Amino acid sequence: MWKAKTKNGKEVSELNTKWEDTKDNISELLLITKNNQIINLPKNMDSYIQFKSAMAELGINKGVQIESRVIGFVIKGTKILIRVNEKNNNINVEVI
Amino acid sequence: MPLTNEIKSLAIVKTLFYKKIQGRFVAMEQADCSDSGDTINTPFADAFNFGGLAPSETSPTIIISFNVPNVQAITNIRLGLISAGGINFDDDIFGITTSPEIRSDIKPSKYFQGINVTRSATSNYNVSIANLDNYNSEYVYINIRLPEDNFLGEGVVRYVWFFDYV
Repeated sequence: MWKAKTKNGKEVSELNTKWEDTKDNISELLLITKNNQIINLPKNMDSYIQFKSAMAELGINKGVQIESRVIGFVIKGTKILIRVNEKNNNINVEVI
Repeated sequence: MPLTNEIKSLAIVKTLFYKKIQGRFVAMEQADCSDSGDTINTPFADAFNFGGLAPSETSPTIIISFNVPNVQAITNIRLGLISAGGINFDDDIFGITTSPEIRSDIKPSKYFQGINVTRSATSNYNVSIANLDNYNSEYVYINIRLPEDNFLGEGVVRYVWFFDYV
């Protein structure tokens, strides 16, 4: 679950806020993983990113799986993503 | 089993496939997932099937799209071929083309270049699919052009959608 602090100091999370409504007004962002690790991103970056990756088998009821949760930020045009594997909590850093 | 709030947004994930009925394409909903195991419903499961094919036969083109209505947006949509159904794989068998338009005259012009046997979201064999809007992919046209020495049973070729969402 992601949690954020907005530029006016309000604390929000994905339990009570739509990302699209708050993503341009964030000064701090963190991710709480399934095994309760907390990943804090640097404060006051140019912008912040959050999404999940999932898969769904086509045409059959095998359901949908969340593969990973991602938070990240942009600084000077470089995108830094922290991806947490949903199954094993492994963490990967992607620089784009 | 109740789902957490963050998973609830994937309560409905659909593959839509399209049939031409009285000259118009009609979307047939086929749920790939539901938030309640009791309500999973695939009334058109049999219709998404290339059927049995004889050697050298080309299947009809099937038109599908991907729909996730209860999220803010899906992005980075990809389709992976995860099972060739026993066909000896080659790179000119499993056709795929995408388009923002739905038309009878569009036929697959590209092919899957490999089988994503590990079901990896980052496989180079996955084919990227553009968005039609925040909740829908473009239309995807798929078919199978069977080699001379292969038969194909029904329902054995499998695909997986990969996607990001917020």
